[in-house]
Amino acid sequence: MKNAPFFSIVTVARNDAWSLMKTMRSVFEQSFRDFEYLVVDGASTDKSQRLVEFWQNQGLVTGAVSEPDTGVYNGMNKGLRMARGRFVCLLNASDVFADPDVLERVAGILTDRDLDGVLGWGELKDQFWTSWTEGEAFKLASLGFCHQALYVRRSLLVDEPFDERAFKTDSDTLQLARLYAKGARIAIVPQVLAIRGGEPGISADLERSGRSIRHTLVEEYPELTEADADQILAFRRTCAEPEAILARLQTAQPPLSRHLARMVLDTLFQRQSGTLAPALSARLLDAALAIVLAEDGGAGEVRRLVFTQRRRAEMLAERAEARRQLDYDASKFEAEETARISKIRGGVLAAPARPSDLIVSLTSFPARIKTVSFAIASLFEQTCPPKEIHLWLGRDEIPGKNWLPRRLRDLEERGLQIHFAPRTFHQYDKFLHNAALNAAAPFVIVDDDVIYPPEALAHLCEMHRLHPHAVIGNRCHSMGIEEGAIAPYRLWQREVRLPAPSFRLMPTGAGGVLYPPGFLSDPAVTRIEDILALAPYADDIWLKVCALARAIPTMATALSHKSDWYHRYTPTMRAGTLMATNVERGLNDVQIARCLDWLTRRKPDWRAAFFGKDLAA
Amino acid sequence: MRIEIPFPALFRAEEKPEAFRDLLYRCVEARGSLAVRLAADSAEITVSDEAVGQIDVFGRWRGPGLAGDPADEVGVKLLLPLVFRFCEIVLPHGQIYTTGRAYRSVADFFVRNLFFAIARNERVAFRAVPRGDVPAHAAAEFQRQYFYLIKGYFPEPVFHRNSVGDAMDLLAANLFLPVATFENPLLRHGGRALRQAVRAGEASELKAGLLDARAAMMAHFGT
Repeated sequence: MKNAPFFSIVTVARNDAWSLMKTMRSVFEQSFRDFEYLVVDGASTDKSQRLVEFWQNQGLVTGAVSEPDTGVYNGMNKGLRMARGRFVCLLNASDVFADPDVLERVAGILTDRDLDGVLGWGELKDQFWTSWTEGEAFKLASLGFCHQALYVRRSLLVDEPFDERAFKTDSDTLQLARLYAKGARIAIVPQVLAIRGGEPGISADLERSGRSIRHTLVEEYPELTEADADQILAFRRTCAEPEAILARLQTAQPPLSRHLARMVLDTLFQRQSGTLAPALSARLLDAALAIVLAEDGGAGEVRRLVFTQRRRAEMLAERAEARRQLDYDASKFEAEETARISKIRGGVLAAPARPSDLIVSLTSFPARIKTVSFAIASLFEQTCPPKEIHLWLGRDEIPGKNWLPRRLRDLEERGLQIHFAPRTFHQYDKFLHNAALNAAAPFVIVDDDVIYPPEALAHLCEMHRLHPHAVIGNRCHSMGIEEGAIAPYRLWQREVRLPAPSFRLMPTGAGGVLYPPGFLSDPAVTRIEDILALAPYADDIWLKVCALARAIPTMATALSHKSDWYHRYTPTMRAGTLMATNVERGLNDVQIARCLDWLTRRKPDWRAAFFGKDLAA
Repeated sequence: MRIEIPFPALFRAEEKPEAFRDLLYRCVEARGSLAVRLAADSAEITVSDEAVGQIDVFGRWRGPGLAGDPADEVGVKLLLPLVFRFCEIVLPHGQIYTTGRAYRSVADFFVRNLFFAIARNERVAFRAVPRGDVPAHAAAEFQRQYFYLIKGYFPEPVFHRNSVGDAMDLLAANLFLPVATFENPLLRHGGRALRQAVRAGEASELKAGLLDARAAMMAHFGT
């Protein structure tokens, strides 16, 4: 029988294929490989299964189930029952590991220290869950922790499954508390190990989570009534009735007093405690500290709290500094761009604008939203201005227009159309929602981090006029051929132009790619099940095989040349790039291989045209 | 004698002021000491004719704070600047082992001499100062100088992470759990001893530490 893997990573998901994408990629990127990866799907109807199949084919997903469940805790328990690893981590859809070395680091700690588990910190949109207490107190008022950063011996979890009752939102904290109560040695690693997805969890429903916590308090502490539980919960959430909590601290008996003390100490580091009068917060701190320091090992725990909160303050300050730095960089870049644009407008040789019928479409995401306006502004300064420019954003990442920077909203006055999809489809947002616009007009896909030279669209237009049925790219790679097959992506020749359209050219979004009328509006191009199963992380590869399937060649413009390619990027160019995974970890090659299998089934004779005498040769 | 250097110039060899050389000469001539003190956007360099017997480093612990002199072992001392954000270094003339060539910055001069002194097991005192006295961003940059130096001399995998911030976080976390594994026996021993030093801290300091940490957090929240 095969040895049990060190870790079981379990992902529970339901109708969340596009969030699942980043979770799975994050698992793929881990340097430590001794794990099994299990996906528990709640009978999704959004084609999530095709994405699971994609990763099953790569050997990443080793077990999967898709069937109705009664909620997230039901799904998590199902995952625990499926798991065979020595330690389990529950990384749900949209959550990711903090970096590619997390599993390696955690495995090292678990092995060296012979622990039952470790609990790290978590991050969500510049906020941090920084656990510091190692004990049962978690169950009191649901002291927050990041369950995605928790790794526990599987045997312990199986004996202590999640409470699946429909109203429960704090089953994870309750489970952790019970594990500690049983003597499990779960050490806190004071480091961010996981980054939560953008979607609020079930505990964000304050009414439901209040009910759940109240229920826990009354059930776990016989001396508490529902009114007492409400009082504790109110203090935890809003620091209401501090005097009553102080009195309770001074009169409660262990273990309630010990847990209350930790809850109070933790609350004193939350924003809501800023409303407390200084004298009162000092009395609360003294009372709680006295209780904790009186315990064996209490000093160590307080020491960990000091460290934790100092680090949290530092991390918050670092994030704030990074935001300030980006604002500064963006302002500086804006000044440079203003100068560049005014030079273009005032140029003696500036050609008069020749309006076109081009539809331009792009997408962006939070890390680049402060600078996407620069890329779009460069599109408004084209010698061949587009008819329309569409920007697509996912509402799960950016809730609405109020979240957009002024620079971007100002562009609406110049004709920019900003759309919000209910959920982001990542790079596929560029054309999935508005492909129908390509039925009659040429459609150009561009990137959100490139400053396009004034002639970029003119080059595309001109080449489109000469080759109306070809895909036109301002930046094309030549798909390498090695021993009669397509060579690995990293060996392809970059920024190539050929004298005639070629099947072997692959256009990349960075230069801007023009699709002739009728290309994207073909329903096969926007079939989500195929995209998820074949090229979930590479829209350019997917669109290339769609072109091959219809025997549509690609033509490179004069800009597609190493010396001419216009390298000017916005300050957030490096944010969120897939380059490391797609190129360095070979994910592009995996997707190319999958797409070519699909292509062979769909158009068995494609090789003859591709590997035969090149039209451009 | 004193000079003020704009903060970015502190780290650029080509912007090292001529006057710095005069201060250095004066320090050696008078057998005094040379000090660098960080402000929010500049650094002040001063020379004193008074002799001092050890290097003094002022700043803030990234961890819970280590009581008194945490250790006198080289392994521990080498790691201390990685868990201590320093905003001031007072360098006695006797601990100037390198004068900082034309291609080395003023920051490099101070940090390199600190590093050499530690490596020679000289006396170095780390002194915590109030939070407000340490310009966070500037101190973090200064600390990075030390990181780059130690990384150059010790090819430890833990120093070669995706970013300096990652590595520094790992080293700070290492105060509690052995999350950073050192291949060099000196540093491995230092890491262990440092964790012991954290555990041995006085309980009486904890409340002050908590209040300080809370003040930092409330300042962030603007309350």
